[in-house]
Amino acid sequence: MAAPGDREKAAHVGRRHFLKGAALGGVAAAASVASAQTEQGLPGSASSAAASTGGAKVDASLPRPAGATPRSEESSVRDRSVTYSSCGGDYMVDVLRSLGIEYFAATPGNTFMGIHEAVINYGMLTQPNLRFITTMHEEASVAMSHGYSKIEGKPMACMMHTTVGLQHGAMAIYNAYADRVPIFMMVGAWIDAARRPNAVDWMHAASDGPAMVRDFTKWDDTPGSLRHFSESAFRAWKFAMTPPYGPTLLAVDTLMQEDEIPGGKDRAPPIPKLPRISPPAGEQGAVKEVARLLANAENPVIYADRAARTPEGLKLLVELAEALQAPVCDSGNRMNFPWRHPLNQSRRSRQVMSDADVVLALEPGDPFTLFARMDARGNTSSALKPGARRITVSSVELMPKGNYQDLQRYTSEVDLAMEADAEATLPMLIEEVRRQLPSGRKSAREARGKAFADAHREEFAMAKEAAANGWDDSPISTARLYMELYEQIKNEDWSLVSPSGMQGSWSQQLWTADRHYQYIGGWGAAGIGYIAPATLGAALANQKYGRLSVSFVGDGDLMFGPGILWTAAHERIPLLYIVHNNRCYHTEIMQLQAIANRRQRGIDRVHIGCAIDNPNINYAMMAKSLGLHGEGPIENPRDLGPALKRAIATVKRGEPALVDVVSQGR
Amino acid sequence: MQFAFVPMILVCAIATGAFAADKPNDVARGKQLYTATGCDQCHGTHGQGGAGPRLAPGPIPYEGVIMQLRKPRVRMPLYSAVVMPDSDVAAIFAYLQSVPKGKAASEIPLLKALSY
Repeated sequence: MAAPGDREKAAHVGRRHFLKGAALGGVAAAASVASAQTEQGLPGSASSAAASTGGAKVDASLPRPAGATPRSEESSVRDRSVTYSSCGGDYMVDVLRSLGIEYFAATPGNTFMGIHEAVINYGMLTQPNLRFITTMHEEASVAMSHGYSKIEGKPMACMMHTTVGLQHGAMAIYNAYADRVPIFMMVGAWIDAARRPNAVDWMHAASDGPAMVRDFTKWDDTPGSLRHFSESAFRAWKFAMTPPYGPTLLAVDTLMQEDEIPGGKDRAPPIPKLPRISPPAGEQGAVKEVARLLANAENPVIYADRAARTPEGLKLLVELAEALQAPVCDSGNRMNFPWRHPLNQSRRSRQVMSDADVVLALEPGDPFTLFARMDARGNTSSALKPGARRITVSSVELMPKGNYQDLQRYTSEVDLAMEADAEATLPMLIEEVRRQLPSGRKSAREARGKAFADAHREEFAMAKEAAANGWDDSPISTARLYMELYEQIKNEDWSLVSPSGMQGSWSQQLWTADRHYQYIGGWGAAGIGYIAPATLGAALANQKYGRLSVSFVGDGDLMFGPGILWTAAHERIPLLYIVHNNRCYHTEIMQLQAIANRRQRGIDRVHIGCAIDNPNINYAMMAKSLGLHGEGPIENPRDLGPALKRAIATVKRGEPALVDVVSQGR
Repeated sequence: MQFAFVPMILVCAIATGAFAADKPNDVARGKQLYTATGCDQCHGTHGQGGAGPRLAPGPIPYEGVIMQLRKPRVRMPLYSAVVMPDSDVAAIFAYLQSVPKGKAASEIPLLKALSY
């Protein structure tokens, strides 16, 4: 066993090499203090701890011997000995940085202090800097990662405390899983039961921690060594980023984070190489067949769900639609197609689908509902006319799982099911379509495109008139809410990071948007509590591009985790929250009315359990108490524009703001 | 203002033989019932639409309203005569007919300025 002085000397050398010169002074000073404490036997030092517990002290820098270990050679409990020359946590930080991870979101937890300390004292002080994002709930950490990925196209890291922390994060993980979004997650793990210090550590230990969320993660692992950690981290990243995207999870041994790298920094395992990922594209013969069907169709229709994973996907979809002069029905789960493009027929999807003779569905989340109708008695019929051909391109079907039913109902209506990533398949499909388009039908295609352009223009005019309904009402109409905001942001580089379906999708109806980051869809699994944290994660990603992020958050959603407002203020993430304050869980109150009426009991009491009033919550005051600029509650529609203007001025200065708007239900 | 529309509308409706509301206070009662029976949750506080379609101004014929309440299509909740007697439906219908026509998009600067 090395003497403390020898170890400390070696520590300085190794650490200097490890940190590559950056931030050395502070760390070395800390190490010196720790060393002095040890030598003097001060409280908090390893020697005093060992003396007080009577436990035998071991050299944690040495590899643990294989096989049975005599009790005298075991670390008594969690090793609090002198600062190491290197530690597992620092190595893990280097692995994260090698993956291009820039942010690390966490609510602190006892099982990942080894990484936490490494992030703040090593990762944040050396290049390339990691940024620690402090959250107040594990669900917020995961949801922030969810929103971040949809803007940035790559994961940030989030880490959770073992068991209870992961339990907190579970719903947000399911949202990300169902939304096909890459999340890179880690959770602490007390693997060595002989070193769990106390009762709480036992309560917070699991033999197989990731099992709890395995049904809705793409892959997980529990590394047994640092080499195993780096290999599994790269594998987790690769799997998360291979379509279909999804969350991955590493359960990281608490002591492996905290202990010294076995053999010291110089014996640290190499960091693996990350390959360029090539997503699964459609088989060439099938692509040619699809192109033939589309090119020769009278009324081809493109349905896009989570199809445009990247800005390139949006561009490709426009190319395909324009080549065919085919309408596109966008589900709204991604920014698949420009909102004011003449071929965007999303608001008329039912009609254009019923007229179609060939439907190409790209990454459809619910193909049954797309191709079939079901009446109140459960009888089903085709949503398409007889003889229409149905094609699906779906990467999700490459990764079926059995428990959660996010795959939706099976449909027997599909003629050709291409198990492939839609975006990766589009270039080949576009090329084939162009090659196979009959030259003699160019005028027919142009006429088709003109008819859809006319219909789109008519829809737009109708939407304007519909928006005028109740324009001066209080509670404020959702149409006015969206239009007052648009007036303030239309000349900015804006990004609407929240879903719009709860407010009538007025943005898609009336705004102009043609960039991928301008809309990112919603929850995934409709798990409430997504919007407030996920949109902050999206705003975090937008921050470095100088975009103006705006988020409509329901009052019910916000109150699932209002602590996220503090995170927004603390981390100085510019985001405009607009609270769609209808003072109830609105979807639920509508459904409860239906149930009560079906039982002929009337709706007099359905507010119980659904209304969020008595007292009304003052969200502006709440926001102010958490460090945000707050406006409202706004009840007079004439006050809305000026309030938004003031809030946006704050956001443009780099701070978050919140405007509380007492609004119509939808 | 709302009441000024009612007599003429009611005359038209009664003339069709489909709508039997004939009490001047039906509009006021209908307005109260519209909220009390939860119509506003889906259709907006003045029938302007929301999760459900727009009901006012210019509601669909009374027969269509009563049919949708008694045998709803799509996701509309059932309103039987037990929870909403015909007299209440008539009052609500009178209220919906009384809702004045709002501004057109061309009269609202934010909407008028929207270009395609």
